[in-house]
Formats: sequence, C-alpha cells, structure tokens
Amino acid sequence: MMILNKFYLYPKIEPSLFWLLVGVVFITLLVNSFYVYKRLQTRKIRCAVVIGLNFLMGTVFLSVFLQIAVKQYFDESLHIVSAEIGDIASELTNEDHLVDYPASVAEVAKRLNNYNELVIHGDGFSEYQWQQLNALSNNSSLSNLTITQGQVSTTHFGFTKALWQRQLTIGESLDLLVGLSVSDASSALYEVRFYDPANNLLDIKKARAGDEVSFTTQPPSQGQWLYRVAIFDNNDTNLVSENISVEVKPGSQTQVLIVQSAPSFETRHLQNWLANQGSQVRVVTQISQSKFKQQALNVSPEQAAQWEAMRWEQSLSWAELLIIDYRFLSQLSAQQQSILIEAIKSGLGIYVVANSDFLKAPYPSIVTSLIGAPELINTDEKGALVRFNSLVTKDPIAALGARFKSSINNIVVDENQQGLVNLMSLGQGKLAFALSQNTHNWRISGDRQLHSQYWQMIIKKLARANQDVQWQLVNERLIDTTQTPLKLCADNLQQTQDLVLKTPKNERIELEQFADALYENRRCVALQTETSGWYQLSYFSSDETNTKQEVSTAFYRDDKHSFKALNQYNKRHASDNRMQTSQTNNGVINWRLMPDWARFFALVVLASFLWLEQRLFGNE
Amino acid sequence: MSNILNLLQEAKKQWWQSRLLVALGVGFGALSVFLLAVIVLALFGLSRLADGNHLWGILAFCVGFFAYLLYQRLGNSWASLSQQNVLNHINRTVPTIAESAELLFASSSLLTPMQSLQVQTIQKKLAAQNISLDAKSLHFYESNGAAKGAGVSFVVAIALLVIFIFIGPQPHLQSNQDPMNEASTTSANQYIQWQIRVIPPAYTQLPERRIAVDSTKEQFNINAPEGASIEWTANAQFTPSLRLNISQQTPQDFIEIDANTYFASFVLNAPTLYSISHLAQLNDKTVEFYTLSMLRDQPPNIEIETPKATVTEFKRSDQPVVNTHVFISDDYGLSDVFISASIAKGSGEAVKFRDEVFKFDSSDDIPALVLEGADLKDQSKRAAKLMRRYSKKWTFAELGMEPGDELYFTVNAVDNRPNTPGVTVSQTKILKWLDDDDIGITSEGILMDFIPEYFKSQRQIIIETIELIEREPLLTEDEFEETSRELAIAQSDLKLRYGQYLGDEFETGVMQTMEAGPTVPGDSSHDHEHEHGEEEDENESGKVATPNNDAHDHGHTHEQSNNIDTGVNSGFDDIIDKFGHNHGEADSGAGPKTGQLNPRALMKLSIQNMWQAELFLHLSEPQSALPYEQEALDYLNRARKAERVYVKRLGFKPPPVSEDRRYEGELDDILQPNIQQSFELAQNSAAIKRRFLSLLSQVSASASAYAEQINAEQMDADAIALNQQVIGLLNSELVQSDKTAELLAVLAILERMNIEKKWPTKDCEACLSKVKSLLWEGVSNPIAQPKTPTKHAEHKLVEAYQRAMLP
Repeated sequence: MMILNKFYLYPKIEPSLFWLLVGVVFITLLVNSFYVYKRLQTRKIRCAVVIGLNFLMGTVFLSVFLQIAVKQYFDESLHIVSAEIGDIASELTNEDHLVDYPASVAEVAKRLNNYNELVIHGDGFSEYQWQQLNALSNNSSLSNLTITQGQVSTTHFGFTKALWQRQLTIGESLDLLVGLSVSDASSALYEVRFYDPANNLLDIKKARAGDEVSFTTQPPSQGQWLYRVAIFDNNDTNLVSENISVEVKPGSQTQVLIVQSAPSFETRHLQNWLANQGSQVRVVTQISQSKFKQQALNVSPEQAAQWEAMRWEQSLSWAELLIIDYRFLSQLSAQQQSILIEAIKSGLGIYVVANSDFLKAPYPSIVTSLIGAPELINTDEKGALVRFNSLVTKDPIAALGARFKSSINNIVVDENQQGLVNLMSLGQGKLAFALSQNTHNWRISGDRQLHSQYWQMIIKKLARANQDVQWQLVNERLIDTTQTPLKLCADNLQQTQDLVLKTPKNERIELEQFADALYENRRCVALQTETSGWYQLSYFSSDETNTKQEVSTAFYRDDKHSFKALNQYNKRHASDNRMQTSQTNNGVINWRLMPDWARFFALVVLASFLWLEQRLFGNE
Repeated sequence: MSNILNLLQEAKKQWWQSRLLVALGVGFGALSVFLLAVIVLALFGLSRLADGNHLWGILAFCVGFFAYLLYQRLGNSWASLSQQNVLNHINRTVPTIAESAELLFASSSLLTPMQSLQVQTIQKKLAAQNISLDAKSLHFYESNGAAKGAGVSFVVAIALLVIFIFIGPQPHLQSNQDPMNEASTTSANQYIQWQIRVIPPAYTQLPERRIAVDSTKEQFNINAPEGASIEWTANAQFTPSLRLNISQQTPQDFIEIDANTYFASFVLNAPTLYSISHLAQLNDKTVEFYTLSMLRDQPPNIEIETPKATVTEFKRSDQPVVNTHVFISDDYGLSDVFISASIAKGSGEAVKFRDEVFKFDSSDDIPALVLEGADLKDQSKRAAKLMRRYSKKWTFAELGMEPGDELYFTVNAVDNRPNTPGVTVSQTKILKWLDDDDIGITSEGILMDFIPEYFKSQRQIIIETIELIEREPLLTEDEFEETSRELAIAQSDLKLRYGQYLGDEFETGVMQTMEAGPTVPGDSSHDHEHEHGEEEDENESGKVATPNNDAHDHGHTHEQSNNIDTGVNSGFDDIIDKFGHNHGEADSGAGPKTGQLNPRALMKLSIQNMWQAELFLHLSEPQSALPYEQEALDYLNRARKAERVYVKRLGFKPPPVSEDRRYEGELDDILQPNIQQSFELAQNSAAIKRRFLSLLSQVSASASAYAEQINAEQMDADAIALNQQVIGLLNSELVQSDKTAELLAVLAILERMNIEKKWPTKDCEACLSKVKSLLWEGVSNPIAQPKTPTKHAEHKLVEAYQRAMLP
C-alpha cells in the first residue's frame, strides 16, 4: 500500500484480520463520536477536538498493527573527492552539500551504509580500489548505490597506456607500447622520444593525441635499468617524462635432446649456441641405417658415459626440449611413439623440423596421434620473412612450400601472417612443427643475435616448465606507484622461505607472506611503503645439492607523480563502468522503516489527553 | 683524632699531587726544548728532522714527565714517608699525645692494661682539644714551588708551539698533502714549484712547450703529440721524495738533478693516466689522477680530384687519355707517394692481371693551413701542415691496354713517421676500355651475363638429377642408387673446388660432415680462423675444457682438430682476429641481410646448399636434393653477377683428384663415435664489461636517489677484480679510441675506485653514471640466453575443473 509515493504500509497480521480490526475500530469511533457529540454539543470546538483526537488515536492504534516504511530522500547522498581536486576546489565550496575527503577506500566504505547515492568528485577509483570498496562495504549497499559523477578534475596530459614487460631475460627485446591522452584542445603533433639508461636518444616517433606508438630496444646487459619515454611539443618543450623500469636477468641452463636422421647445419648451429650458453645438449645423429653418433655437451665424462646407455624413455624424461627431424620422427617404432606421447603429456616440449614429406599425406601414425592431419596451405613462396615476438627479419629464409592455416597457434609467421611454426598443447607438454630449417642462415650471415632470439623464444614457449619461484605483478597494466600499498605475489614460493626486502634506502625489511585466495601455489606479500626507487626482494633457495643460494628479484616503484595521466585514465575508465552499471539499479528504492515505539508513544499521549479531558471536563 | 690517624695516607697523597705537578712542568720543559731545537734547525734549513715532528714532540713530553716521576719515586723523599717517621713527628708536634703515638696505632689486643688506660686518656684529650695536623707540617715534606715551575714550563711550551706553527716550517705539517695540491695553493708554491716540459718528436718539427704550473691542477692534464717526451721538474726547499706513477707502467722515482731540483720524464706512446705521490704516503688513498692525452700522428689524407667516378668507361673507338689529380695532405710530412695499379685483360677463366707501381708525374705544394699556434688540444680542428696536389697522365696505349681491358688503381701515401709510418691507401678507381660486346651490359661494374665456363657443371648436375628422377621407374633400385651416388660425388667435387677458394681447404677427398664443415687435418688452424671468426663476434665463445674424442671419427675431423689444437671457440680469438684472415667477415659485412650482394657470402650460401644436395644424393633421394641444387645454382649466378674484380679472388685452378681418393660407398669403416665436450663461458672483453655494467646498475640503483643517506659501499673482492679487468680493457682501447678524453676521465674514476676499494656513491655521484654511460655505449647487444619457462600457479577454479575433467 503506497501512500504519496513516500510511505509504504503493510500489516503485520493477516490482512483480513487487519481489515476486520479496521471495521471494528471505525464503528467504535462512530459510536464514541455520537456520545461525545451528545455530551459536548454546546461546546462545538471542544467537541471537534475530542472527536478528532479519538480518530487520531484509532488511526495510531491501527498503525501499531502495520509495518510502515519511509522512502529515502534523494538528497541523502555522499559526496566524496577521490583525487587531487586542483581547480575544482572553488566550485565544490560553492555547492550546498557536505563534501567529504576520505583518506582511504576503507573510510569511504564505512560511510556508505548511510547513503543511497555516491557522488564522486575528481577522478574516481581504479578498478582495484572499486574491488576493495566492494569487499570492504556491505555488498548489497554498494550494489544499491546510485553512483554519479560530480565535479570532474582537470585532465592530465601524458600517457594513458604504457605496456612493457618488467622482467626480461638477457637477449630479449624490450617492447614498449605507449598511448597518448586524447586531448580536445587541438590535433597538434607531438614527438615521443625514447631514451636509454645512459640518456642516449634511441628513437623518436611522431604522434597525435590519442595515438599509440611502440618502441623496441635490447638492453645490452643484465641488471636493473631505467629507460625513459618523454613527450615533446613543437617547441621542443618536454611535457611529460616517465620512467620505464626493467630488470634483465640471466638465462638458465636448459637440457636439450637433439635427435636427427642426418646431421644438419640447423642443429649444428643450435647446439653451438646452446653449448656456448652453458646448456646441456645431447645430440644423437643417425649416420647409417643402424649406426648413430652421440655427442654430449657440457656434461661430466661420467654423465656422458651414463647417457650412452640411456634408453629412449630416460632420455625423454631427462630432456626439457626435444628437437627432432621429421624423418626420424616418422621412423619411430610403435613403442617409441607411445613413450614419446606420454613424455609430452607429462610436460616435455618437442620441436619437429619438418621436411617436404610433411606437406603430403599419408602421414605417419605418430603425426596423426599428435596433431591429426596438419592443416596446410600450399604456397609458391619458398622464402619467408620471419616474424616472431615483435621481431621481423629483413631478409627471407628458405622454407617449405606450405604454411599452417591456423591463425591462433602460430608462434612464427611469415610476412603474410601465415604460420611457419605452429604450436599445440598435449597434456602438460607443448609441441611445434617448423616449416623451415634455415634459421642458421641468420647466424651464418652475421645476425647471431636474431638466431639466438629465435631459439630463446622457442625454448621459452616449448620447454618443460620448471618449479622456480616466479614473481607476478598483480596487474601488468597498472603502474606501481607509491600512492598505493605494495602487493607482490609469487608462484611456487615455499611457505618456509624467508623473504627480505631491501629498500632504496638500503633498509632491510623481513616480510610476512600469505596464501593467495584465488590461486593455488601462489603466495603474496604486502606492505605500505612510500619510497620510490628500486626494491630488491631476496629469498633463499636450495639447489639439488641442498646448498642455500640467495635469489633476488628487483622491481621499481614510481613516485606518486609518475604516470598521472595513466592513473587518471584508469580511474575514470573504471569509475565510468561503475556508473553505467549503477544506473541500471535506479529501480531499486531504499525504504526506511518507521520504529514501533513512536506509535506506542503517540498512542499513550493521545490516550492521556482524552483521559484528562474526561476527568477535567467530563461533568460539564 | 682521625686526622692524626690518616696523616700517613694524606701525606702520601699530597706527595703524589706535588710530584705530578712538577712532572708536568718537566714534561712541558722537555717539549719546549724540543720545539726550540726544531725551530732553530728549520731556520738553518735542516728541515729533514721536521717530518713527523708532532710525534717527536709528544715523545719529548712523555720522556720528561715519566723520567721525573721515576726519579722521585726511587728517591729519598718517598722513602722518608714511613709510618715510624710520621709517629715521631706526631710525638714531637703534639704534646697532648705524651710521646704515646705508637699506642694509638697499635692493635688493642696487644696493649697492656696500663697502655690501654693511656690510650683512653689521650683520646679524651685529643677529642677535647680537637687537634689536627697538616701533612705539610711534616718536616721532610718538600713543597718547593712545584705549581709555579709547572706553570712557567707550560707557558713557555705554548709560546714555542705558537712560534712553531706560525713561523716554523709549514711543509712539515702538510706533508700528507698531494704534491699537486701543494702546487695549487699559493702558500705551498713556496715549497714545490712545478714545471712541465713537452718535447715533441723531431720529425714533427713542432716547438717544445713549457708549462709552468701556477695555480690550477688542471695544468697537470697534459696533451702532447704521439712520441713526445714529457718532463716534470719539481723545485723544493726540502727533499720531497716524489714518485711518478704512470698507469700500467712501473713507477719511477724523481731524480735529484740539482740542489733541490727533482726530475722525471716519460715518452708518450699511448694516452694514459698518471699521478705523483710522496714516497712517505704510499698508503695514502687520496691520490689524484691526471690525464696524458695524446695527439695521434694521423695517416695521410688522400682526396682524388679526378677521375671522380669509381668506374670510368671509354668506348672502343676512343684513344683514352686520363688525367689524374690527387690532393694528399698530412699533419707532419710525407715520405713517399705512389700509384698501385692492376691491368685486367681477357675474360672468364682467361682473365689475367698485371700489377704495376707508378709514380706521379708532378706535384705542387698548396699553401698549407699551418697548424702552428693551433690549439693542440682540439684534434678535430687541427689543420694539415702539408698539402700537395699530385698529377698523373695515363695513356692506355702506352700501358699496353686494348679494348675490353680494365685498369684498377689506388693511390698510396706514406707519412714521415719513423719506424712505423702511417700509410693510407685510397679507394680503388676503375678505368674500363669497353669492348663493343660489353656495351650495354655493364652498369657500374656489375656484369649482367658474365658466366664463366666452370660454373656450368652445377647446371649439369641439375639436368642429370631431373633426368634421374624421371627415369626412376625404369631403373632398378641398384642402378638408381648408383647413379644418385655418382651425382653426389660430382656435387661433392664441385663443392670442394669452390669451398677451397672461400677458405675451406681439403687435403684429400674424404667426405666431411656437413655440420663440421670442411677441414684441413694438417692445417686445422686455418679452419679455426673461419669458425672462430664467427664465434668471436658473439663475444660469447667458450673453449673445450675436456676434449675426449674418438680418434677414428673420420666423419668429424673438424671437431677433433678443434680439440687437439686450440679447442672449439677458444680464447685465442683476439689473436686470430688480428693475424688470421677471418672468413667470417664477408658474411657479416654484406650478405643477403644487407641487400648488397657480396659474392663471397653468396658463394658460401651456394656451398651450403651443395652440402645439402650432396647429402640427399648420397641417400638416393634426388627429389629432395633438387631444390638445394637449384638454390645453389641460383646463388652461384648471383655471385657471378658481381663486379669482375672479385673474379680475381674467385678464379682458381682445380686441384687434381685421383679416383682412389673419391668416396667409394663402403660403410664398414664407419664407427659409432661418442663425443663429449664442455664449454666454458667466455671471459672476453664484452662479457667483462657486461658483468661490470650489471654491478654498476645495482649499485647506482640503490645509491642514486638516497646517496646522502648511504655510506660509500665497500667493493667486494669480485667487484675489485672486475674493476681491474675493466681498467686493463679500457687502457688497451685507449690506443685506438677516438674518445680518448672520455676514456681517460672514466679511467681516472676507476683507478680511484681501485685504490679506495669503494663505490663512489657519496663524494662523486656523477662518477657512476659516467662510467655506466661509457660502458653502455661500448657494449653491443648481447646474444640471447636460453631460458626455460616457469610453471605458473593455476586459478583454483581452473585447477578444480581440470581435476574434475581428468579421468
């Protein structure tokens, strides 16, 4: 029962009983009014007052049996300022409502329960802060909130997108993608400049507001490096300058098994590279129908002797990556095939160097077992410009006259985006078929770096995953600044491992780790620190010989003034999403229940008046 | 009463006080005598005693002080302070005691009743009279005005000290200063005056230069011509005992050549650092380094005025006469200028070359942009001292040339530097007298259809391979395999011929494995040069630590020879690079990558394909071999289209190959080799620089922003060793570098770090970034290292799903 769109009434008892009660009360009031009229017919004003009081009391009496809800008023809203207010401060003071400046998301959450509208002045909250707000406040209250935009703060000009990999392995390229803010002012052309840690200008790109530009470079050494990206206007004025931090770490020793039906330049150059980098390589080469040559690189003589007697199954369980040519793969016996398939399922990576036989059916059973019938497109192009990661070769290398159809699983493509190396998963393992065996030409023609980058990528994508501790940034898209609490998570971290954080001020802090709620085998640390600079997180890891070794990883915290435009953009974007979602909740109305004691109190007061009137003036 | 009882202790105490006071007086007196002696000696010029005189002063004071105390303690006055003497004194001076002082100090248990009664009586009297005795009242006590004496000594000593400081020999107190810094202060200049003399080598005809060091230590940074002799002369009023420390050289002491004049010299053959230190302060770690920059004797500069084009063509009908004009300049002088020419005759296999040396017909001096008075420090602005215009007139008929012949010539200039003169060879100019047949088919030296006879055999192999594939159904299996193997041998033969002229040489016709590449068992070093030339570029080469090869591995002699001689990727790369002819250069210089087709690189690619073709032909798979054969021919054709000058290098005489040395197809002798090799990570210059750069990144990362809060960190042993290695590397680079100033500045920082064993975080924040910048620019992009992936944590929901889905 709605009354004036403000109140909502419903009986506490059975409606029929309630209506019966209403009838009884009404009749009683009529009878009572009749006797009052008879008694006070000469004093008309007093008569009207007494009859009115009686009716009022009857109504109050009935209301005791009703639940009464009052609709919340629209102007009961929470006005908060969520970012630096800057030039909107004066406008806010002219508003006639109370403006709150909460220091943290937790404070906002505390206040939310009393309001049904949240008006956000400033930039709003980031996605992470919204999630925090959601978790800290009563979920229903947040979902019932109407969220609206108040005064908008000044838009910062700068980068609204900045993506790069914070940790690299030596030799890997640093690929940076930055996006400029959308500016309403003009379509001016800016220069985006990219500097190395020695402050040498690496690259300049022209861009307008809203454009995205990318840079690629290769750090020459391991270590902790700060590159810099800056925007300059036409007058060569530096408008924005931001740090691009990257930690370059050394590679790891890899165990590679090369099995081939004949020696080839491809595997020869590959094994040279692997061996020079300290990896263990075992090469088995067929030199006639029943004779094999074995090479053991970077192993002790004892281990090499063991390898000679090693069986196929043991070899596969030792290896992290198997490189095999198509001819040898096709010749495997049924037993060897099943062992290979099981090894892949348990995590082994396999790279198959295909030859022209791969281009035509029928396929050997091992191939059909692994990938079914390969989906290939024939092509006349025997040379291919190779693309992988962000690298594109300048000159073609020879390849077979076909390309993979699939556009999803191709990890290496040609200039037409057609697949040269196709990656598939089988159980925990990965397998790839390559349509070129001429990557060594890069090495021969002097581009050893490209050759090593190619095989580094192949190993990273294919080889058996190890259980090393891997630190994860909570969200790569977020810039870690001193404005927010620091949170880091690591996969494969043991609970017993002590973590020590070395701050830029050379302080050493012992950290408490806790399990992540969403991920198995992931543990996190969190702390509040406002110092910007390089942090080094160290822990001890035991190797095979149970010797403890200190392992460390570094990360950079930007100061709170860094990436202002990006943080503002992220907050506005996340808050806009919330506002759009909240507008769909406009049909939900908050009602406030009227307390019962107020009606009992009114009943008592009215009864008292009527009794006094009876006592004092009843005899007149 | 108690005063009387403690009289002995009181007396001893006061004795010590008075004697200590006197001892101080004696000590100060000794100090005064010493200071007086030093001042007098200094006034007479005998300043040698002054070194470390503050220690001598303290010693003099201590000797006086303790000697007096010892003398007093052993003397009679201390011995007279006995208990008996004190009791006698009390008996004499205090009548109330009634000569019974001994009873007061005696033990009560030993007293007779009468003595006890006497003691009680005396004590009552003493208590009633309140008698007190002063230790000074003891007649043997000697007060004798100790305080006054000590005070006087003290005042005298202070006065002499003041005189010593203000009038005495100041260098004595400043002996720990850097001698350079002494020169930089006005007061110190009174004691060491420096003069530096730079004497350029005679052939430069430059005047000598004298630098009188007056006020700034910057003047110690010297810039001198290569081979100049530099002399440092120090004039001092005392013996400074100086030592000249030149980086990477044995230190040399200054020699006293005259009274108070000291001398050292050095011949500058490479830019370096130096410092001058006192012998007395060898352990002092605040030595300042100065630079010795060197102006290199630049080789002559040659500019060919005419002909301007690299290739100049003349028609058959012409009677070519060519006037060649060349400008040659040098910074000091020229000793020889000549033209080195080759005349090419014939075509294809019949091409012949005739080499001759010519002199220019005439030369004219051009008003030189004389460098006298030019700023020697600025090498780039240095003008040539000598410039000449040389002329030569060529007449093709006189040279015996005919249409179709070509003349290639270069101009050679030798400067006047003795022993190792600078030589410059100009770019090659080509003069072509075209034959009618060639007109229209040449363009800037590239011959479009020049296909010598001996290249056609690859085409023949292709034709026969296609024929074999087509005839396969008609042939028996044995016939097919035999034909295929014959083709493989033909392919091998051709491959070997070409390979020989690309640095791949063979002694016999024994097959090499493709992966091993061709090798000369008797001269394996040659092949090493080839292979290691490649590895060296990577800066990552390792070396074989434990060669363990099968001696019968005929198919892999390359590996064997590597292991026996220098090892695969051995550390001799630098030597090989310097003295060996690096076949890898052609690959890296220009290949398919750069777009400019280098015939040498193309030939190598061609041979690679021949290897593959041969393999498949041996395996009786002509279908698989055909694409490689065709690709090999393609590369050959492209190589052939390069400039004819390369033909000179590619031309060859086929080596005789007898039938018995050919591959016979027997497989019985092939064994199953097991090879084991270990590689060590190379410690070459780039690797060392990278490691040091990595260390610097960590140090500067922690120190940059909060340098003021962090004490300069000590370098650990590894860092010190690495620093020393980097110093050695940079020193060796100084010789060839064109950034001498930057290198020297960084070397000075590193040398200082080496002495102090500290990272310069506090006192020189810019130092680290300077070092980092220089190393960063000097290190090429690294070879990527393999990295196995890490297993990522799975989302709990995904893991639960996977568990549920698994059978």
